[in-house]
Amino acid sequence: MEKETRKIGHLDMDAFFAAVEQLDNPTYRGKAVIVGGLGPRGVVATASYEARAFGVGSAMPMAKARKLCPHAIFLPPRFPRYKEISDRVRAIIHDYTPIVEPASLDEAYFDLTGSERTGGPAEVIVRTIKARVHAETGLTCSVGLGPNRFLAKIASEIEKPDGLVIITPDNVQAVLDPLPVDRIAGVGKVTAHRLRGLGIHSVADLRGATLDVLVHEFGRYGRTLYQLARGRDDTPLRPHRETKSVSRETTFPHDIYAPEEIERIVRRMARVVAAELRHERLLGRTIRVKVRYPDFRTITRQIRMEAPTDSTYLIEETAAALVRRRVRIADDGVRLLGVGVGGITTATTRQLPLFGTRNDALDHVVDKLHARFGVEAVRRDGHPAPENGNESMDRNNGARYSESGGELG
Amino acid sequence: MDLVLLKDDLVFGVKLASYALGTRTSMPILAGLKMEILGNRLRLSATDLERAVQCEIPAENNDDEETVILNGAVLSQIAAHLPADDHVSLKRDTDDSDVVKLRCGEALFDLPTLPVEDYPEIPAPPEDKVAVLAVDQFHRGLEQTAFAALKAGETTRLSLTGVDLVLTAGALKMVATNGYRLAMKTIKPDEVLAEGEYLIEAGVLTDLDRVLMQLKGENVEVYKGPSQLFFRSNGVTFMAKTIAEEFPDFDRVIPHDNPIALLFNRRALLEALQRIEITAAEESGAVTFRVTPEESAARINSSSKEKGEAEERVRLRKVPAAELEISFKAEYLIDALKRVASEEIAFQLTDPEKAGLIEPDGDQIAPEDEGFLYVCMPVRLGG
Repeated sequence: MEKETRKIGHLDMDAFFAAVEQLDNPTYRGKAVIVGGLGPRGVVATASYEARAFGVGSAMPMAKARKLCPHAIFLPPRFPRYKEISDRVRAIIHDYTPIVEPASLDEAYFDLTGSERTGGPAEVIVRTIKARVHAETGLTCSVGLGPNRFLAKIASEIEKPDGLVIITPDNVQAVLDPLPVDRIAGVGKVTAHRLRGLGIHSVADLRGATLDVLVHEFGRYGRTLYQLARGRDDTPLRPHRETKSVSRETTFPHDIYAPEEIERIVRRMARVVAAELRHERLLGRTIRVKVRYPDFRTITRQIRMEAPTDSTYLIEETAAALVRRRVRIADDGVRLLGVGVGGITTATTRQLPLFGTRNDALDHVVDKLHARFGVEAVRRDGHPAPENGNESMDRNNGARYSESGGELG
Repeated sequence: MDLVLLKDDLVFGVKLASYALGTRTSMPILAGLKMEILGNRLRLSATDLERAVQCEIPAENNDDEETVILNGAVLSQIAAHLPADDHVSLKRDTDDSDVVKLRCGEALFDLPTLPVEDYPEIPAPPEDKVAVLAVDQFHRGLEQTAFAALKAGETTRLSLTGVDLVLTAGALKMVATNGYRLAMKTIKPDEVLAEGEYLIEAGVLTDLDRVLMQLKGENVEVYKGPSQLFFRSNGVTFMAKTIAEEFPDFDRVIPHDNPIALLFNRRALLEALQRIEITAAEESGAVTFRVTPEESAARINSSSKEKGEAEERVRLRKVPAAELEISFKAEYLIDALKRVASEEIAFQLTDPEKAGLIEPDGDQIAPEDEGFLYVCMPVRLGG
């Protein structure tokens, strides 16, 4: 029996953070704009195409970007604004299919297989989506359509920016073969290097390798490579990706020594994490604190709570106690601090506390104020992420921290 | 050092002291059992700094007074396996002064000593007697409260790892809570000499209780130190450090006049809950009670996607005053019902988001249930 060919789309906003800055501030347009952590240890999140011409790229240390492109406009990220546009783009896609899997703030996969009966050919729908994104946000994106998510992603990259590429079962090999192997998701520098050692440079070369050779060299991943070289990928879309943890972490521009300051920062991050839990109507059971020392040794300390919670009081006090009692602060200080909450459940079921009522009421008030005046952005696992893991936070207090989200531990 | 002891005395003393042996690898000296020879008595002490046990046993002393420290865990194991002989001798090795020879019948152990100067000072019991308690009542009080606290090491909220002991004229209130449920027992002390409030880790009190059960004394005297309580019974002293944190304001959360009283047979409710808990959702462990004034039974059910559903009717002695649907974590209710002896209990409720109160009830409240109450917050089940 022949399986129905799936129609998977991948939409990727072009130089998203930088493009939003250029959109909101016309004087930035046509100029090199670099968004990222601005401290001495900051990393580039997004560079506009004008900056990319100078060799600036994502995940590059900001110091290097400043050297390559000293005249660029350097900006800290504004996550709430990016999230707003990201939500609008996602809403557009949702008009055509309920199956949307956000990959990050600027990327989403979607499944149009079932949409064709009512919405017309997928090839037409993706064109409509692309046009609507431009019309309704003022930003361009690149869209790929293919029989699976691997090919959809490949397709969206081929003509970036402002591209639209459709891969069908008939042209798969013609599109894939000439690509260098490191265009395959998951093939990083190390794998690419090992592949080159086997004489494999392009996808066509990879297709020439036998399954035995690839499995021998890469184990189970060899099997995946063998399939991907042939454009085969049956990974399903996960429209409702479950949040596994809500966390926040900060790398400091200078190592922090004072225990009081460390605790103060941990408390602030804990408050933000708690607010995010409430915003998303989630509860967490495990509270973690992560510390990285200047020599990059990293430790985490965690506590499993008696019941899942979203209480600022509980999360803040627990995180503070963890860092105070269970973390050794050496003379050389700490380089990074993180607070995370795991064991996530939805807040529809909640063990009510005996003593917590006054604090809960306060949480509610604080949340309202945040909603009106803005709160620092938080990222969660499995949800929109910056292009690389570097953000800036705490724009109010002089110091700038670069930070990255992600699961602690 | 040259001592002869009755084997049973040594076994008894070592067993008591072992309840306070330290296990922290950061302070290996606390694994030591301190033996002080005082005339014709041998004083045995152990401490992990949170608690300490001190007891004395008679000894036939053929040498000077001195102090040695031996590994407590090793001594406990030896004590548990001594051969059939009435006496044990302890002698310092003539060749190696850092070794003590323990002999019982044909069994001979060479035990290395630990440095006496490293051993921390165990605070001496002060003269400030604050109360005298009946051991059986205190024991029952600990049994009915200590379980409700959080375990130390599993939380950073130290105040919730303790049992709060509130001494007032004529009463000792013992209270423990994990922040979601609370157990309280009021007992009548034999004597109260000074009022006061002392918070002590539940695990420490459970060890104290074990020691008291070994001692089989009728009373325990309580003395107050600067940051500890001392309990003395049958010549044995148990020190317990107090937790330097404030216990939550528990009086505020004990409900009064809850209008809906569900009168259950305790065993019937306990067994039903143990069944219904099987299909409760993993994270909440919630079971739901539904009652109406039309029926003298509570319908209790639970359901979870993975495990299925359960429902059961449990008879009530009276029809309830009003209709109510309310959910609780089954474990919390089971914990309490298991620790009550009376045949009947009253589960007093107000509304789905307010605390429930469990108390022994009926014509025949078991004497060991006097003064016990249990407060439990419900689980809110959303749509």
